[in-house]
Amino acid sequence: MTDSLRQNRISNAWMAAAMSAIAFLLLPFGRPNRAFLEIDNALRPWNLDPSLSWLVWLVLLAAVSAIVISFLPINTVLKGNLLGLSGLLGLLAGVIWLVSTKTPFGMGALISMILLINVIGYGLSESGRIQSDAFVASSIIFVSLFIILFILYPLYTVLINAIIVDGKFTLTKAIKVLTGQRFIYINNPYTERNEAMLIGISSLIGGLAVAGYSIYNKLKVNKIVIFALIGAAIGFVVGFSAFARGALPTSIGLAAIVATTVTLLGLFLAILGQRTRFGIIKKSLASISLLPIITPPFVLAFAMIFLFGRQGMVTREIFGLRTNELFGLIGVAGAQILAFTPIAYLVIRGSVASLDPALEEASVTLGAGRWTTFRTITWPLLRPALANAFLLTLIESFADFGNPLILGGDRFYLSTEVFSAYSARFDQNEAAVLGLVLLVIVLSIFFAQRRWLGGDSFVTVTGKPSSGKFVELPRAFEGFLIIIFTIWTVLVLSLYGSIIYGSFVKIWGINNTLTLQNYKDFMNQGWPVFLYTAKVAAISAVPAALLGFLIAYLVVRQKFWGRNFVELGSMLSFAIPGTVMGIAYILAFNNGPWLLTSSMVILVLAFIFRNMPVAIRGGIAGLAQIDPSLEEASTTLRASSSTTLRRILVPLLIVPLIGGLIFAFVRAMTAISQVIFLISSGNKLATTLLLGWVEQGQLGRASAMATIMIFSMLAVISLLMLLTRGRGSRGIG
Amino acid sequence: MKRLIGLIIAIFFLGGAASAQVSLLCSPGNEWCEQLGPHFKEATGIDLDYVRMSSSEGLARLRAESSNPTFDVWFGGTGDPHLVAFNEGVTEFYKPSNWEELLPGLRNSVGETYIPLYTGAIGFVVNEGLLAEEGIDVPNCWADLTDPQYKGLLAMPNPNTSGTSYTIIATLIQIFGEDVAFDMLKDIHQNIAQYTKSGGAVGLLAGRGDVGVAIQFLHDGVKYTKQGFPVTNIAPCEGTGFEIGGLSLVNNAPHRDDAIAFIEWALTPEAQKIAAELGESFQVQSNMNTPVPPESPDLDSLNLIDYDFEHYGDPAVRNAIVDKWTNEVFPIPR
Amino acid sequence: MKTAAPVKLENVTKRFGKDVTAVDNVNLDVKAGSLLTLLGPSGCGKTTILRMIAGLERATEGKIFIDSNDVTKLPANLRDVTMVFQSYALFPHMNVFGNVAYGLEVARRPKDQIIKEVDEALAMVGLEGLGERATNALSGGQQQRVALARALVMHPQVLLFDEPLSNLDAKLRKYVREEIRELQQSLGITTVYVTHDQEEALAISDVIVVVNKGKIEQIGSPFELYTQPANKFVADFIGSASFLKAKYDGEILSLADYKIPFKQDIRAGEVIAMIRPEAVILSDDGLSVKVKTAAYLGSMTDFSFESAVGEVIANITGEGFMDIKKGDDLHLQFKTAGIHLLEK
Repeated sequence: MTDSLRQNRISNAWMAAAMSAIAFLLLPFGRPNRAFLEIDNALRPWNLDPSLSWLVWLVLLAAVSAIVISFLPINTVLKGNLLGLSGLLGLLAGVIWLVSTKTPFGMGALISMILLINVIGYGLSESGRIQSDAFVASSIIFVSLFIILFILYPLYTVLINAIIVDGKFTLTKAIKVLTGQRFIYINNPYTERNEAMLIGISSLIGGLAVAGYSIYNKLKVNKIVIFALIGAAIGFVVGFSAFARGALPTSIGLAAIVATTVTLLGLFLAILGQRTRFGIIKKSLASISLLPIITPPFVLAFAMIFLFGRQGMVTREIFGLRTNELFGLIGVAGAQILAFTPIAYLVIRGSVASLDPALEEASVTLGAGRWTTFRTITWPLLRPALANAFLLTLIESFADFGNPLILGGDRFYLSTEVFSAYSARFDQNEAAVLGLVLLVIVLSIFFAQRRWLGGDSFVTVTGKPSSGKFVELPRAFEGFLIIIFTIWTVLVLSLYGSIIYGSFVKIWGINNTLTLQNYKDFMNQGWPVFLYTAKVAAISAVPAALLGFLIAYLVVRQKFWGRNFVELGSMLSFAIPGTVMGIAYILAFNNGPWLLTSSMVILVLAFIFRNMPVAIRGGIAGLAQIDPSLEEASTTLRASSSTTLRRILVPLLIVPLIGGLIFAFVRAMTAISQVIFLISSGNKLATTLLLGWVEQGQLGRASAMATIMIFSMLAVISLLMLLTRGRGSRGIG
Repeated sequence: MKRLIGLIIAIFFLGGAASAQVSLLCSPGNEWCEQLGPHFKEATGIDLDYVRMSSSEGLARLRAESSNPTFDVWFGGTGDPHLVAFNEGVTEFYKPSNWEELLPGLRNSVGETYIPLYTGAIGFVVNEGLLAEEGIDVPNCWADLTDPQYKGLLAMPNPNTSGTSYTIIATLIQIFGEDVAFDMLKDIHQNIAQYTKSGGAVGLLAGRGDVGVAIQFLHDGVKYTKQGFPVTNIAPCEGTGFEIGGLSLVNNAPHRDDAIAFIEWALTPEAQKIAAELGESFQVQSNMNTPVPPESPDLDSLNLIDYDFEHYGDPAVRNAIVDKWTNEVFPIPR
Repeated sequence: MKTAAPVKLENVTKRFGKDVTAVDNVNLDVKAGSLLTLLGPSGCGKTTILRMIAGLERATEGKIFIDSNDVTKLPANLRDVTMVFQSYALFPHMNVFGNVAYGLEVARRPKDQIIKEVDEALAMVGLEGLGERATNALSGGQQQRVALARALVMHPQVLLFDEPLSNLDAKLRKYVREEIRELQQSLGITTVYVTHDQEEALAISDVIVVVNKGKIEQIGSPFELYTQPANKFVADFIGSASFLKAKYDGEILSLADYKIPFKQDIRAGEVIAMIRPEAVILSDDGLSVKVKTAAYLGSMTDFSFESAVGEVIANITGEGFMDIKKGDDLHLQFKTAGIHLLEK
């Protein structure tokens, strides 16, 4: 130990540097087109075009000098600076060579340069430029580079393709799109009412109602003004989405309805699951509430048609209705609520589970009623998780593609419009403009949320273990929750029942002869694709959850320059509509040094960056409730940050972590919008096949595939949950 | 850190294998696409894999990766996107050796832009059971659809999102002239239950009984009938428009020689008859020697109009018509 | 066993953001094997100093040495320092053994050695045989000892305590602090201890550093600080005292009419005389005062008096003051051992 205090100790960077040098010498620096693993001797460093290959040799030079520097008897700060400098020069030289020769990177370049980043991390840590160890320092650089390369750079290519029309910069296209009727349509000359006036009236009512309420409660004047403005804004949104037409008002109204409902439902289910007196509800809730996310959204949407469509079992057979109301805002909102409530439940459940019973006991001891206890103690502690759930579903709703595609009816939705603009109107510029609008909306939500939660800190999981029991729910409230839960359960089970039933009949709802033909067809055409999809999803889920968790840790617990950039950048991928992301990846990675298209790698990367934000959010919410002194204690006991992460934070946050993992896996299995453009021959995914079958009316086969998907994902999730339970509160010693 | 690096590298090793075979972008139904690989391999010994995408998605995809394409051949799908792709240089025209065997009407309509693969006509896919239940006549003409008795029982795709819908509107304009056509579209609009996003989805609405009449390609209707949906197919009495399914060689195809071998094979009667026999696809195939399947709508009896593919395939014309519909028909309350 | 190491801080400053200076140019010398207490009101920067020694915060300026090695920029996990946290920071997912063994496991010690050392450490803090207990099944005092054992088992060069007793009740606090002092002395570990409780500080420290607003007010032994506080803040913070207006000519201290022969090396003229409450004697002559309050506490009586030179507080032991009541005129004298002069 005293060795570590020596002024000129040997830096561990030498190992990374040595591995970098070995990779450089063993593996070719570039590769021929799309063949990642091919060893092409022409692309070994010594066979490259000599006019520029000195840049490549700088990579080796950097690695070798890092080894030498590690052993030099000089002071650590100087050593750190030298290591960082040599790593950086090597990395830059390699990147410049790749970019300027447009050669796709080879395994040699990949490995040696990643290890050089590690060397830079050692440098930054040892020179004291980043106040943490090499793991954190390297992670920060990694994550930043990832965000630049896999999120910002693809977006940049889309932007360039958007505002530069035929090689010239122009805004006329954007203006045309944003004033078009598909986007926003307020005054419809074919109706007798005046939509603009109605929206104004709605805003006025909202403002006056809230102002009246505030005056009644004798609030201060400045508060009344602020509240009235908020009320007017809510009134405007309501009126805007109710009376105006076009993609913007429709998507805003949809997102507002869905996010509010879903957050409430998620909270209800989480509270019920944690606090109910009835064990059976606790057990069934965990599994039932997770069902909808293990299904591709359009399959659920189709099941809804059979229950609630014009010929639907519920609408026609039970209520005798002949209505097409399902196709439109109602149907999409319903499908989204079913699909997103589990996400909200997952986000909120973690913080309900980690609330400190002692706090509530204290409150009850102080004479507060159960309801007061909930309102004053539980509610404020839940707020960050609720805000996160709301934010997530708002964004999800804006970006959702499958449900509006199937159930959207006549209305336009921003996400499908991006897709339609690109693939039906062949208008890449319009697609980019609409994509930017979505991005701006989502970023505003993101910043609003940060302001809202900014100053608050909620630390309830401290190192002092708490004991005690949760306060029981008020009876009436519990009854209400059970009713909601029952409705939810019946709805979900009947939707799934109809999918399973549909997989065993000839034609869903038309010819109800039982048959196994659908499964035979699925085995013939879908099974290999299904297996491949499961493989891609599994490969991508682990890094997605881990990377998301790492980012949450860096953002919450580490101070470094660019922290906001990392948080914002990593959340961006979640906000970008999947279709835009898919197009962006194709434009960015189809050529040149970062060539990745038409491979499994690009699918995995797309999934990682698409699905990690849930792990980030879950990690942030979880970390906000863990006392930082636990990590500090671990650090003072000589644990490196990676050890602290692995041995302290991961076990304590295993619930949100597994939640993130499940989410990433399931989302990858069921993703559609971002991969429509990324699949290639040999790299086909189950969902695109499924959508094809649904579109072409092969509903039996589609139901069979959906059934198999549901049950296999259920199996995977149960297994993961079981593992979580096994990792209870046992000591490791 | 080591673990993290290991993870990243593992992803590249696991996912890095490249495929070496003819890569097909396939736009007709899955069943047809599924049959191509095995039969082509049997005939030539060359491996083939496909990705199915609708023709509009296919165009977007080919465009996006045009600088370093992964696909060799674009097989099927409606002609307009093939034409756009050709005009943009995304695809190139390859003149097959049996060019003269292809139906002259189709050949002459497209010129040397893309290869005609099949053709199919627009019509009505009707759920007669539902109409009978409501006590309504089966429509036989475009004009019938304007009758208020069909209120809430009609479906067609939205031209903003569907190439089929645009073909429908362009057909009406070519039959009745623009003004009359738009008056009819306004009346039809009053009867529409739902404008679907995709062209294929409307037939399903009729099949399931969500609507009584779906306006779409008749060969899709035939497919639904064959699958067991209770729908019949009706060709409008005033005549109707049609599509020409395309076959194009991708510019800079990675496996160009094998791609040409595939195109040559795909235009033979042996290859084309797979569509109806095994692929559940009932378009009329372009090779005049390919037997017309008995289920296919008989093109001679259809009263096909002289569809002007060059004019109505022009993106500018298309946008003007779609915008006019979106501004003048779609917002009318119903 | 390693030899204890000295700790040295040279001109250490810590700023948070641009405006907040938490620690302002602090110099500190902790002798090897001694226990130094950082004492001050909450928010004075004492915890920040401790965290900088641990490496949990990095000094904005200045240098920190442990065992004469510059560790200013050394990450916390590479320093040979352990810490007992105010909240104990026990890992809730591990049992007692797991918590204590954690540091040794991280250091990859052999398994049998870990078991042996953990058992020793638990025995040292009086928790033999409780290794398999869950931490939330322990009392507050026991949890505190687990935290202590976890820090001791690493045999650190420097041991840090951040208000370790603040979550315990008063009786337990007294008992545990004596234990800590005993352990520290028997192990001879260099220790830095943060507290806001002056009694605690006086009881256990070799050296006390009084910190206020990020600056050091005084460094000294408990006796020095009590008898010779450098300023009013220190005098007031450590024990209680009266501060009276006085004149001093190098020989005689004058409190109004009351004159005491007194020797202290301080500039002659107007001064402030600090009088400890236990140095006050009731007398027939001396400083004339009026009784303000009197509170009988059993073994002694607390008084406060008004006088021409300021308020005097006193606790006087013995019997016989029962009849003194508010408003009575009395005379006071002061024992010179309980007087200390401060510059005005």
